[in-house]
Amino acid sequence: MVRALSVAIKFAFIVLPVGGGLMLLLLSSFSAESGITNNAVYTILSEREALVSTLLVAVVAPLIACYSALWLAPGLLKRPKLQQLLSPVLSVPHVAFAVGLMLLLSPSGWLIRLVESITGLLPFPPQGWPLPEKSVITVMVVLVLKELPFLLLMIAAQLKQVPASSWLTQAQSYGYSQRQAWWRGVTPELLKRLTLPMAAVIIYSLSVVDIPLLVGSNTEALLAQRVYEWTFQFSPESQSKAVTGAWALMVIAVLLLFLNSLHADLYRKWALTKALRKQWSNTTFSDKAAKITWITFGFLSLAIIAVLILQSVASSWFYPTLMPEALSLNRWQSEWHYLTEPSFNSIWLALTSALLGVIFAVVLLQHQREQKQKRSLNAWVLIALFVPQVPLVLGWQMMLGEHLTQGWNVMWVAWSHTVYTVPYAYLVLHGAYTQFDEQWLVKAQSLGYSARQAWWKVMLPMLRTPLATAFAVAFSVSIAQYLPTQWLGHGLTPTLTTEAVSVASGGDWRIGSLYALLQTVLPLVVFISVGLLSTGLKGKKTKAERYADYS
Amino acid sequence: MRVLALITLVLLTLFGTTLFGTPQAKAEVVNFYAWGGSPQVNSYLRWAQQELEAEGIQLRHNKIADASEVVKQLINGYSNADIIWINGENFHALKKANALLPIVEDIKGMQHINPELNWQTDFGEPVNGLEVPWGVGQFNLIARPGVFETEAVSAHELLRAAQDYKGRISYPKPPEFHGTTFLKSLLLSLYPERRSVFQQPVASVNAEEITQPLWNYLDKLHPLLWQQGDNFPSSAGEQVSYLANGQLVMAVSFNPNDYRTLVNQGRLPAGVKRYTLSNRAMTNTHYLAVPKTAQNPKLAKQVIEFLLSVQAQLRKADTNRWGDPSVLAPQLLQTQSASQQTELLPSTDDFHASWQSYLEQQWSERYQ
Repeated sequence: MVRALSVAIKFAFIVLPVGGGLMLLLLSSFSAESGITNNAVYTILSEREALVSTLLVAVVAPLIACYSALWLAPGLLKRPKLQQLLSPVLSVPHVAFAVGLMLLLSPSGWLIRLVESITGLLPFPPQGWPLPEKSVITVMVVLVLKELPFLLLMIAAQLKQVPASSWLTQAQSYGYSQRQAWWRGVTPELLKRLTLPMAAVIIYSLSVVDIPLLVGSNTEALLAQRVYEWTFQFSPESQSKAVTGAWALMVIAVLLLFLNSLHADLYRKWALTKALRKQWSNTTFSDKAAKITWITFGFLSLAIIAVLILQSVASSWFYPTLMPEALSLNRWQSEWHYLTEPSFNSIWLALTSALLGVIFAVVLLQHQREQKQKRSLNAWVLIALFVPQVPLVLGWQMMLGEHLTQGWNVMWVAWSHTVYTVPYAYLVLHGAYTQFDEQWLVKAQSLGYSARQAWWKVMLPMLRTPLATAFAVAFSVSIAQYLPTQWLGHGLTPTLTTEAVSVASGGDWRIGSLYALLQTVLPLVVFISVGLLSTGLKGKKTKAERYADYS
Repeated sequence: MRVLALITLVLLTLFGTTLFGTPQAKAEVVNFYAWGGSPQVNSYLRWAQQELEAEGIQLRHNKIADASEVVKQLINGYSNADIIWINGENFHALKKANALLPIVEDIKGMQHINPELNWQTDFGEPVNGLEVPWGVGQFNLIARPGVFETEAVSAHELLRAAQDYKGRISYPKPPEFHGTTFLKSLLLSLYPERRSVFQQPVASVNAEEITQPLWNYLDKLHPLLWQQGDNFPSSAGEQVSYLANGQLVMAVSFNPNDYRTLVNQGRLPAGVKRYTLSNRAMTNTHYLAVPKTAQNPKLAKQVIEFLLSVQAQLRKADTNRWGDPSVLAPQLLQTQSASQQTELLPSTDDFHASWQSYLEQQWSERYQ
């Protein structure tokens, strides 16, 4: 049964959507008017600066995020409650996060205003500030800061499966410093388990459009951004560049995914071949710095939410004042009447697609366990993530055709969200699920449970934390969907995100912040509940966990 | 597991309400796809929604981030739009794709349109009855007091201001239409005596020679601009934000009342002033159109007729609200309220359509 279900899910949520999207892309690639032309290939290859920045963003930002997360992660081992600090950043939508960060740290941001109000040296925002409104660096900073908590969350889920603490104690008993043991002993195992999350992060950094549109350079635009812009310019040349660029993005994605699959092994070789030094001289410094970074990070995430709240109630707020000229709830009051429909749609779409996403991911993984392909990467589950969204969704429209006009839109919107929640749920669960120790099931069955009972009563409860995390991530993924909601929904399923994106296009961040906050609230509630579930309920253990403790 | 049961229960309730709960009142739906980036436009359309409800029409404002999204859908043949709000390049693309219904002759009240308004061409492209004028755009600059010395800003004056306010002036990056219009206005300022040249197709004149002074000028101007001309604001809205937070001392707009409405709304600090680039404002029209695939063209036209009514146009022109100038003849718009008086800037017609892509292409070859 698992096999049949798994095949059905693969067909309905991977083959069908990706196949439909690629079909359109293939068709338009060979169309006479707007197909791939030598000229378009040449244009893309000749934009060397754009390609270099694209690679820089897609390789360097994920790596920085990955190693910073590994550097900060020992904190999670000592204080699991730190995970709660991640919730706000995880819940803030990417664009809102970028806006909040710029409101704090841009040349006219709050930090500079603070300097001006104390010293009076900056009547105008400074020029040449290292974090300008538009640059590749700004894009990278936003991506690193936004991906860091996601990777920390992934690590936190893995740390529940890896006996990291006992490894560390063991290594220390041999005389290695804690840091040494962490980087040499625990990290290789973690990196191996992070391969899939890293794949998602890399693909995201490669294909993200909204952040570079907001804070990226627009004269040396990233490739994904160019493809997006070409798609909406209607001359045949632009269309053919858009199609060619979409293929180029996919080629780069495959290449980077291949490199990513080598990452853990390369690290292991490096870590093991390097001569072992028993003590790192800067150990204490490193620990202190990590602590300070955690605190800064917590502050930053709260400050971003605070500045968004302030913006949403500001009647006006100009440089260089530290606080808005006047506060008023007018904006909230006038929008309030119009929020019911979008909030309602956001909630039910996210609940449905996250629940389905988690269930389907479990089926896929269970099938994989039964097939004994534990180690295999199955990057194809993620394939929907690395086809650019515009041709993909257009392909769906072509494929669904009439079905969209007969009132079935709502179902198809939920379907399209699920296409994106399945891969995320899968990659969150993958490590924990495939590496779940068979011993528990064997023991349970030796005590008289059937295989199915053992799965339901022992395995699932023990995987409660990763399951809940997968649900939360899938929930926030669904909340953030713009294009599929807008296009398949034919305007019948306006969500907080479709409202937020269209309102934000006018550049008025006071109302933009209001919608960004609303977008944040729902995932925040889910993330916090998940955090409480996995860290707060120490007293109330499930039967299975009590059993695990005593065995 | 209790959590799972709870979620399922909530979902069932939600499904129940979506599937069986909503459609009791059978008002006929008209799907209006319009840019949702302006809170003023959004609340104007909310008002229109309420008014139209009395006529038994449920107007749905499907907010989009960019009109090109719905254009892309229409060209591919998958849209449920009944009315769209467009002009310029989006209109060209739809006209070329033969996706619009000729509606002008069916609309009651077209005789009330201001005869002085040159709405028959849209960014130089003949309208051919495919779209109905809704409002007037006049290109203008909004700047902090003292930045410019004259109300009509010449190319020369702009360069002087850029020297005085180094790094504080910029313009939206072409092909964003404000940016392209900025270039056209500069051309007019550099060529005051040869205005008629730009009404001809670009292929029929020596465009390379005519535009050379513009590129020479921009080569001088760009190093003085914001971020040394390495980056540009992506949209007029973004540039307004930069003006508000002091990064820039100047923004651009197609709404001649924006210098007042944006201050009223607290978006810009009081005291900003309006200027024209060159001695006349590049003037054009934004339109409403009905796609061929519209489910209910008759109702769509009824909505358009309402939006062209004196009442609707007066409210639209109110600078305490949207402040978008009316397209109706001035004698129809007798009103006491000062905020609804529309005063237009001295205007000049847009270039022939072929200049649009020529300028954009040349610009991006040089500066991108």
